[in-house]
Amino acid sequence: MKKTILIVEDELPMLKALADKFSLEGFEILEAKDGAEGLETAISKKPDLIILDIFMPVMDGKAMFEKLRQDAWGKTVPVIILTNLNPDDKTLEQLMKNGPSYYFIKSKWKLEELVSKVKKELGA
Amino acid sequence: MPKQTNPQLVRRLKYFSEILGGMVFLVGLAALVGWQFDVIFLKRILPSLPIIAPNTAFSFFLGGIVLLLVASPKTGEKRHLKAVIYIFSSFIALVGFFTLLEYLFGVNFGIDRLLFSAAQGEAAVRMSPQSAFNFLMVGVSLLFIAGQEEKKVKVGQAIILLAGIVSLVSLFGFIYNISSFYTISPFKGMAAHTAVSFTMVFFSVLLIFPDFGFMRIFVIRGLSGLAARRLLFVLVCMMIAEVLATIGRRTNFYGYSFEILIHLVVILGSFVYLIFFAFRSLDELGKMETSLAKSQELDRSKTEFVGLASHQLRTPLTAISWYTEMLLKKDFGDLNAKQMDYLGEIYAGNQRMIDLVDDLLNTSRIDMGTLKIKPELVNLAEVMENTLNEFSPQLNQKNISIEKKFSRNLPLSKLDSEHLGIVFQNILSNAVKYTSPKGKIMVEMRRQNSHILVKIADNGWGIPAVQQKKIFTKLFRADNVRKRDTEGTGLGLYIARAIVKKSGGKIWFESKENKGTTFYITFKV
Repeated sequence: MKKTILIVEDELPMLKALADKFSLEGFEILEAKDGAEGLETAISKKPDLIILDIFMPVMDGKAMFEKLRQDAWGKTVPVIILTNLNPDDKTLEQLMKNGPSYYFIKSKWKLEELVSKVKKELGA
Repeated sequence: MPKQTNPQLVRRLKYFSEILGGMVFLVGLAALVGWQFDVIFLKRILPSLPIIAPNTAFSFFLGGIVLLLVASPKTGEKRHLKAVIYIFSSFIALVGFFTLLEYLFGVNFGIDRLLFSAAQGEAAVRMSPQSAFNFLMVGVSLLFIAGQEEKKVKVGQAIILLAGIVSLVSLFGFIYNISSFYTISPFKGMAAHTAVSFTMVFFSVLLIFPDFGFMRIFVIRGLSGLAARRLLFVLVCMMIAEVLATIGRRTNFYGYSFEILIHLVVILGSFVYLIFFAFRSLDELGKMETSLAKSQELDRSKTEFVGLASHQLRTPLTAISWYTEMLLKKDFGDLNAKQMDYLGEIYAGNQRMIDLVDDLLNTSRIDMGTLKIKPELVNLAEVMENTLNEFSPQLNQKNISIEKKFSRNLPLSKLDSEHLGIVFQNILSNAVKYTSPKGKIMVEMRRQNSHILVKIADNGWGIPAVQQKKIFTKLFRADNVRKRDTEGTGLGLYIARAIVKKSGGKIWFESKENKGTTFYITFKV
């Protein structure tokens, strides 16, 4: 069975690139354009992994992550933080408290490297 | 942070202190000669004035020597000279102390005629009570000053103030012809040259370490020091003018009414000067404050702008990078050789932009002070290996060979691995860029006592000697590389040094033009 990935990202070009790449790699893709939509989709569809941007309108990634970890199912789902923010210590500390699988600065990583991390995380 | 003192001024005042010390020595010597050969002038100047006692003369003689020795920088290391200072100072204090006892209890220890036992029939060979008190103060003060440490010097300065007050009062007594100022009846008074000598000792002691204690306010740089100096200058000028006005009247050069006129002019003139000086300084201070606030504001908004712009720039650059990557990977179909070539150029160009944005971001974080180091136990060799791997395409292209000398069992160090990577990357990228094809780069890592030494050496173009001082400056690029290669921002080494410093490490280099450059970095284990 295909594994499902939820991508929460407000920048459309990024969202499209990620969605195209991961579906090419054989994943089922769910998309959300902000934290509120992301949280709703996550809890209703229960994906195998979530790729989460931080800086987003309506509800940002930090708040969504926080809420997700309060959900019974959401407590354990692997989350990869993907952002272009160089977080100050505080943001990072709060994010780390919720236990993300990885933390990536987008511009420093190739898509290929991201794919291999996701595959490793899902044991695929 | 303590304010900087003006070293030139400190040196001048010390020099002045030495001159005063020398003069005290000469007065003492002259008076001793006066006693030896019975020269009246040397003993009392005017027949109507009190006589300088032999012990007073001898104590000044010794005091002058002590002042000269303390002021001399050569004394510091020599033990026997230090001993001389302490013995002489103690002697001065003891002479004062025992003479005071003689006055207090009406006894005679016979110390007054020790030097000139016959005393040529003079009745009053004992120094005045004021002189005795002053010598006790001077001796003790010199003992403290000789310690040369700030705390001791401060105590010495406080003690000498007491002697200063007594001698200045006596001095004014002579100038204004008020004998009760320099005589405590029924005893004999202080001699005129004694009062002058004590005043010289007083200033000499204060000026011997002008950068210590309260004297510091006169040698501090900036407006506050300037104000202290100007006000002191006005005070001294006023005193001199007042004294001259009085002397003029006393020598019948003019009458009382003219003297009062001079006093008035001096006081009014001083105040007018002070009003203008206060206005000008406060005005200047106000201007400095506004311009400082403005430049800080500008600096802040500039760095904030760079930070924000960098975040905004990263998003589209990442999009370009990811789409180009997918095309180059032929994820969505084949491309011909030309298309691949062009995409490769787009990808490389984009990568350069990403690196530049990273540099700008790091620079703005350094400037704003928000660069955070998150230390963890790091294996330096591993970080270095990873960084070297990133450079393998460029190394292969330029056919540059890498020699690695990593000592085994390199200890771990508590550092931020990401930032450490940036440091290695910035130094290595210079080494690769500024070394000709077929060159050599040597990377060495070894333990050195409680530090880990990282050495990155190349045999490249080197840094011109005249520009070596500037290479850690933001945006600086040496002339020789600027001519040959337009790539590069002049931010790399600035960032590298800031990170190394923030991590508690040290970075330095050696370089010779056309021979090569070696960078050294040390971190604590």
